Amino acid sequence: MISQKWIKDTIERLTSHEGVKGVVITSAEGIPLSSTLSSDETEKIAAFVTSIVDKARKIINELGTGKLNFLTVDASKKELLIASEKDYILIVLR
Amino acid sequence: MIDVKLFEKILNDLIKSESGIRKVILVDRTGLTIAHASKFSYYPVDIDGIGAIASAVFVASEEQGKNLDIGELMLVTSEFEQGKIFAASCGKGVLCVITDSDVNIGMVRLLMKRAATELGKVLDEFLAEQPTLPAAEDETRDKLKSALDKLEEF
Amino acid sequence: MKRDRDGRVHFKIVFWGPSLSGKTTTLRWIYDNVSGLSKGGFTSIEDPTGRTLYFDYTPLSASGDVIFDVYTVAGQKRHKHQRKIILQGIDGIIFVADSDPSQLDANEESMEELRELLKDRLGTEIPLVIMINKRDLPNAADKDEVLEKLHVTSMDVPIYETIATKGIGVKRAFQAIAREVLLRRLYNLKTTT
Repeated sequence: MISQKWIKDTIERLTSHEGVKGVVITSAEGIPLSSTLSSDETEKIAAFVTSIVDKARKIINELGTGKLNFLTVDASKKELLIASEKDYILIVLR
Repeated sequence: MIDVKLFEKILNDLIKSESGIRKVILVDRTGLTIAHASKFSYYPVDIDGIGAIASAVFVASEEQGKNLDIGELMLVTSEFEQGKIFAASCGKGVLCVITDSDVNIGMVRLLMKRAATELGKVLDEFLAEQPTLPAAEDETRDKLKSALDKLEEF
Repeated sequence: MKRDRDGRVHFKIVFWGPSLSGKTTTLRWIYDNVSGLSKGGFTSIEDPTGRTLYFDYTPLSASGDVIFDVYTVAGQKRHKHQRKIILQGIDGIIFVADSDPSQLDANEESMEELRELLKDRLGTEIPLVIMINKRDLPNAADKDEVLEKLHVTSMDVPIYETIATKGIGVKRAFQAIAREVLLRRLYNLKTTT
């Protein structure tokens, strides 16, 4: 489960990887739990990524392809790696 | 004079931008409902009464913040079994959003912040141009006169 | 006074007074019995025993273009902050005094609080009408005795003796405050009737 220690360890582990520009952990309701970015940017990312995860879950549900695990959003400047769990969403910017 | 349609446009944009939002109400801090928008208009509610409570609840929280010396109030969230109510400060008014219970809270907060900034400016202008003492302009004068006549009748 | 989205003019009128003096009863009576007024809903925030916890609210209109947003406040002492909030944007006050001899000090205290909040706007910029309620009490205090405690004898305000439970005098009291409020805005003058 999510604990302060787990959050801290996860963020440390992920940011140590080369090319990682930021990490955001948000609740399933879009409320940021922890982040390495500014609060404005964090709020925005948490809100919109939660929105896309909700949508992806619905699609996967409709298609009957099981449970949503992971999403990648590949854009020209950045890449978003999104791991969706039951209680939280883990977002890595690369 | 400010076109009140502008309020309604901003509120309608807000309601459309997130699926869980059911109703949006803009009130001033004295309890007057200024504008509102609903996703399901067949859902009958007493909007003026709801606006009066929304304003009073927000201002009461503000007062509590003053009593406790914890600064300005930004947002009130009320969580119910089957829905949520968010209220945010918005210039001289309060922006109130009623949502489903499983709404993307982060998104609602973000959208409210944006709308509140936009609305706050328009609202402060709208409230500032309200007729003041002692001269009421002609149109208002006629309305008041007719109200005065009617008053003797009921 | 404010205009709303549809161009209608709103005035905010508040029933003020000590605990259990009959503010809600009066507004409820007007809401239930006065014909010729168009009404919105009746909103109440009350405690489990039915006493006003925060306020009652109902919009009343005689002409459609002009709406009186009428509020009552919670009378109990501890609700002082709520009362202050309800006074925001006020256009007129009906003070509901209790005729019970044991409540004369409570009347005085309530009026003092109102003066403290509105300062010299009370009775000048913000018209005041007084209801001396519960005139049917067998031991009702003398009218002058009630008024003396309110320190309004020098203020020239309209005064009505009422029995809110039976609706006696309350319609006239409401008409009086509505009239005062309208005249205040129309001609910037004060009348006594």
